[in-house]
Amino acid sequence: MEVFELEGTRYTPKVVFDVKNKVFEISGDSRPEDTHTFYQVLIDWLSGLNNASVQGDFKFKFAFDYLNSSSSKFIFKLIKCLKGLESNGINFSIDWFYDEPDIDMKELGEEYTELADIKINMISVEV
Amino acid sequence: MEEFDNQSLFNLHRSIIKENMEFLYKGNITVAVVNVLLQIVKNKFSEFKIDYSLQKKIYNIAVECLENVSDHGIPGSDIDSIFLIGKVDGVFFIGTGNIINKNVTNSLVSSLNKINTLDRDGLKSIYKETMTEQLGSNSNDVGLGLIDIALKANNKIDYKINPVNDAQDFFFISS
Repeated sequence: MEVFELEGTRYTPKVVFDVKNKVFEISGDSRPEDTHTFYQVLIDWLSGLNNASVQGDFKFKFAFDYLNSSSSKFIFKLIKCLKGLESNGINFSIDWFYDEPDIDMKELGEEYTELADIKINMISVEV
Repeated sequence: MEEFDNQSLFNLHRSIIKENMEFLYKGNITVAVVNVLLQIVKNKFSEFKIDYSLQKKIYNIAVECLENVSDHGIPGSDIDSIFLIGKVDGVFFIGTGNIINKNVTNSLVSSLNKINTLDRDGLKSIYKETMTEQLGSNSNDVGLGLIDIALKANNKIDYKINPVNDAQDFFFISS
């Protein structure tokens, strides 16, 4: 339960969920062939934290270079899952990284803040 | 095999230039082909000499257009799909054309007409609405992709329908 990792590919993001070291990160390009299956595995793993006696404050970093519209739907689902964990004492502080000229990526992060009613720290990266 | 003379090749080349085509592909658009085409699009950026922000927009639109075809097109059709990038007066446009069943045409036209009436705020609002509504759906829904194309292009989505037979249309979109 403590560590879940996926190497990034040209089509799927790198994923690191590490409870012990408090590292949670999804980064890179996201346009999986089967978006539902790819993200449902991540959502199920995160939901499982509820049953693993995990508690505390964690950071969750999103740093996408690109994500397609289908992925954006499942990221929203994942963020809602993170919010749902709060009631069990698992608190995520979410960082949304975007390349400074990429206004669309910035706006997507802001939309998640509004839609999921959750605080997301917007962090611009110079390119 | 019918002979393909140099004059035909010359005319084809001249047409491609006249129609402002920067890149043109004709053939099946499968998942594997989408990956190759997107790599070519990335490679083209240095040739296009465009800034980072425009590169991202073009790449985004190309992904959504191509995934629409690979996810919703009819595989094994006798008529090839097309994918193109063109540039008129310094403005890029991206288009795809593919065979679809006529029963899909109406819903696609209705989605496109709705999207084309909306300004940027309207598009953002319907994107959020669609994303929330589709949370329970596991398919690669066409609606969200089309809204995304209109948002990234900051423009209307043009479309043309060419009936092929009683059951199928060739559907072309560009933005």
